[in-house]
Amino acid sequence: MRADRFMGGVLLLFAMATLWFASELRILPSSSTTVTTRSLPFAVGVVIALGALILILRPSPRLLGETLAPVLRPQAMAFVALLFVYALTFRYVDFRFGVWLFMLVSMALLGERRPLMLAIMPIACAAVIFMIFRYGFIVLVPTWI
Amino acid sequence: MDLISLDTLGAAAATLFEPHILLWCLAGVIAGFVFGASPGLTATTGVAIATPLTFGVDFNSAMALLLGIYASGYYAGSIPAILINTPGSPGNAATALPGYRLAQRGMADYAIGLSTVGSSLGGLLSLVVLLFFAPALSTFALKFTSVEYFTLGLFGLMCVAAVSGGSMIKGMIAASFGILLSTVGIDQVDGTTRFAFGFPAMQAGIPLIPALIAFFAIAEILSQIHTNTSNRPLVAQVSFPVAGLVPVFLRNWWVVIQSAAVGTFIGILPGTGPTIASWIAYGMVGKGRRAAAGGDDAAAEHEQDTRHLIATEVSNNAVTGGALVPLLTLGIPGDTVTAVLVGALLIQGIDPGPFFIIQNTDLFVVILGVLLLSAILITVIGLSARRVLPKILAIPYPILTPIVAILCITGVYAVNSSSFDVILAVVMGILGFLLLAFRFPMPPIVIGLVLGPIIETNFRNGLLANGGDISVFATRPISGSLLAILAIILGWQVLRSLRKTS
Repeated sequence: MRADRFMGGVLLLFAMATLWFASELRILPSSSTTVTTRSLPFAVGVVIALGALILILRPSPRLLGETLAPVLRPQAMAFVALLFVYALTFRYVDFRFGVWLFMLVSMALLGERRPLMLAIMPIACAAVIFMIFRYGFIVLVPTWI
Repeated sequence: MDLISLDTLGAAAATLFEPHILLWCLAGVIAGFVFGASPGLTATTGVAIATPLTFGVDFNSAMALLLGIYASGYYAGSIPAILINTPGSPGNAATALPGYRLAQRGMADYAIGLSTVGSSLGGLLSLVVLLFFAPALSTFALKFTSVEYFTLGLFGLMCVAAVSGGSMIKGMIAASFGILLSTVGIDQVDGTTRFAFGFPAMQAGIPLIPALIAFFAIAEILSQIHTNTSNRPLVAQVSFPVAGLVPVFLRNWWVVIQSAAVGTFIGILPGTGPTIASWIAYGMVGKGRRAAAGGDDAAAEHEQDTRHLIATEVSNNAVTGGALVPLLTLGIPGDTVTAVLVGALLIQGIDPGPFFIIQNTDLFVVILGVLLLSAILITVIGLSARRVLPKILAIPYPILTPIVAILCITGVYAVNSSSFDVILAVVMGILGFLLLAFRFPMPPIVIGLVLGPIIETNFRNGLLANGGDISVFATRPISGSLLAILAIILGWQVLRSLRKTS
């Protein structure tokens, strides 16, 4: 399957959803002009729908498998998942511990195998980044102690 | 120029010599070297990550840091382009051709020297244009009404969509998506809430800084996971004296002037940037050289590569001053970095637009001074450390990527201390990663987000002020002319893409 055709389909559904949600927006009785709060989302939804149709009808030769290959690589998916978990738990975990753990796991995931690097870099980064943000930029990052 | 008094210039000069400003600018230039020289990271990524950090510092320090990254990031992309034929950023793609050829002949040191001096000259010459052109345009822009602002916003957005690379249809969809994101939250005209889906945090809209970091930084680092380029062998350098560069530039003074003019002009056009500028400057030199050289012996080839390298580096750094002209006079970003700078100015409580230079002449002069300081620092550090700079390429990718990811997330958190913003940024970054895989350009999304409110509010205000008469957008001279130019650009792009597919 052509990548553009697949993306065109997804975007067409997205545009339909946008148009539906835009039609549900409340218009104030005092709105006097013909251009309302719905107008821009409607216009944008129409442009996305037209663009999606063009992608479906005139796709580039690139295949879906080839396009999704970099996204579906286990290393990339694992790093994305790790980043997502880090963001979700950011406010609950001590900043220094979170940076250390994220650095350690992601360095190993991205191919770092030198034990000394894995031992030193996460600790050094956690300390330096914490000092910069906490005392340099006075950002109250989450801490346990 | 009559807007800037000698007293203001003196006060700004005194500010620039304050030690903390020098240090911030130095930090910015060094950070710009790292972001520019690391393939996959760009000046835009660097400025996006650094912007939330400026929350706790004053305007002068913030500009010193961000403009330092901006100027040196555009230059430093030439280092990997010359040494390993991998441009640090798209704006240095044209540099890779003559630069890598010179490096293969053992002239890497000479090529980096040319790139350093050329970049500084480009930055300085565009600064002169900013100094003389911006105040005049700012005064002229005071005559603009909502009608002109709507058309300018639309013009900038469509230019980005049309020329940001790849398919124009994808550019248009990306720009529309950016505008759609800008409609989330409370409508500025009616006060009704749009697309908040019950999240109280979404009522204020999609925050700009998390979006900038998501689409320019997180999406970029995720898309670089499969292209680790940092292990390529570096070319051995033959040293070349700095003094030897002077006659080279004197011999090619016309190339410098021509390329600076191209870069500055391209920079002024909303939505363009260093990539387009450097290719145009490269092409202009190419034509002149063939006519003059006639032969293809080694000396002529060396001279041709020298001219091409000077042209690309002067032009891509000349974009910096040019791109600040529409930002500081109209509030319309000239390129991706200036789109990020909108966020930085808002953090400082400054609304960029026609009143900026008139009401804040001192701050405008500080911006000029910081750009001048950055150009000087680039020259000094670039020339004195040009044998050390290639070591940036040796930072292992498994270390650099997580550090950048942590800086992105912490930077987002630093703006509002909001964990919701952190999650939003990562979700948008993952979305950007997917869109990049399908070759959707990122700049139109972000510029759509910045320009969306300008376009919508001014369109509605323009209609209200003119009794709902939509023809006013075509009949007013500036607005009508911009719409006509826009129609020509879009028509040309559609014809080009139809010809390509057929």
